[in-house]
Amino acid sequence: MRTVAFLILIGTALLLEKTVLHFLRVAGVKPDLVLLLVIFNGILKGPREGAFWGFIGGLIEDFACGHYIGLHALSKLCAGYVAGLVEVRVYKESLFVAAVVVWGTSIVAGAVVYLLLATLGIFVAPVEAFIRVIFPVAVYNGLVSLLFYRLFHRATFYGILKEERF
Amino acid sequence: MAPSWRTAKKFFLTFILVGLTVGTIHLTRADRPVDLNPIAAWTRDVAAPVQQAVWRAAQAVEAGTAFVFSLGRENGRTRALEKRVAALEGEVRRLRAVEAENARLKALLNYRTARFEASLAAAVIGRNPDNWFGTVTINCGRAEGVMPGAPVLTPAGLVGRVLAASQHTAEVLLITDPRSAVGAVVYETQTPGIIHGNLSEAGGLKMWYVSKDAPVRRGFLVLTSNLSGVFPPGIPVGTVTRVEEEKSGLFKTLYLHPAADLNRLEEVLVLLKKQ
Repeated sequence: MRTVAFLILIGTALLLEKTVLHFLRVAGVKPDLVLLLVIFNGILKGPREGAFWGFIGGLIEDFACGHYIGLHALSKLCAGYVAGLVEVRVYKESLFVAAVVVWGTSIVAGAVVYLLLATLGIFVAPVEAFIRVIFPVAVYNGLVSLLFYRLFHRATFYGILKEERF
Repeated sequence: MAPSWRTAKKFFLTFILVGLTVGTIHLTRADRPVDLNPIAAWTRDVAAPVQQAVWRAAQAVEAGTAFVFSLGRENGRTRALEKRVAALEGEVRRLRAVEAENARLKALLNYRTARFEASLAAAVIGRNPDNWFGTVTINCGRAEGVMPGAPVLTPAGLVGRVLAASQHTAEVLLITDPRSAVGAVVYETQTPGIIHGNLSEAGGLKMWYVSKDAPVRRGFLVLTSNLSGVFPPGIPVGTVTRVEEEKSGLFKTLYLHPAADLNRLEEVLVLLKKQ
């Protein structure tokens, strides 16, 4: 049930990213909802599951894009893992802590994408990439996380994303 | 001993996984028009109607909120008029370009325009999900004759080219995408250069390798060049917003504002090649 629910969430996030979020761009960027889900999951479930769902979420995004299969899978794997590393170190119920982790982890994910693009010969000046994409997306993700983190937290421990025990 | 062996095994597996993923990224790169893999093509065709419905709904909501927040100033009529103005401006630019081309390179122009026999109107139904690339999805594909490499434009100017096509959808690489390159010429001075996208919608356009001695100024018009192998010549690409000397001292770099409003694309024209 948790797996199916998470896959549906990723699918919905992708659909929104491809459509509605274009109209909600700020400073030319839109939030990365799939990354948000991956980071939330990492914060609440630890590095192992964070990395696993990061890879799956990114892979689905890659297939939706149709090219560079693995680009988002790898960046989101890193983001999920890094977010998971803070699992036992921070007070997970705090909205502020979650927003800061989302902000920092989004920068990590952006940096990984940037490096992978550079290996593909797609060169963007590092300062421009940071100022125009990586930093604004991290800030936007951090702000959006304030809206959805509680909801995800509740769903993970009491709702549709709760671990089933047999 | 055992834990260190386990750690080494873990590192080895991670290394293999990362290596395989990087290899796959390189194998599925899309620097030029490509064929979509069957899974991606099927997913797109299946998701297209839902995507189109959500896109239309979002557009309607955006129009409604724009009306409210502009206190009624931005309404349907204003938008329609803005569109009309943009189309007419594009037409003027195009006519200026055609006039110039006719005078100088009539034979070549005739040859180039003869390569495209028809155009097809298509609706935009989605954008790329991330912030790095600049692509849009349109609701016409191979079934309608849209093939990878086909130029895409609006009455105002150049939009990009088809990167990949499924049966009923196509992915258009915008000129603002970092993978895009367009052979172009400054209309007023006939100075050639190459326009590269920068960063999706946020970065705008840059025209590289413009001769240092060319007297290019802000407001000059840039058109597709007759040396471009992909686009027909004379399509407006943008206007110069800033001129910068390169550090090497050999060239200038021009910053451009796209002629077509790439953030508000609703319908586009796809030029279909002669079979």
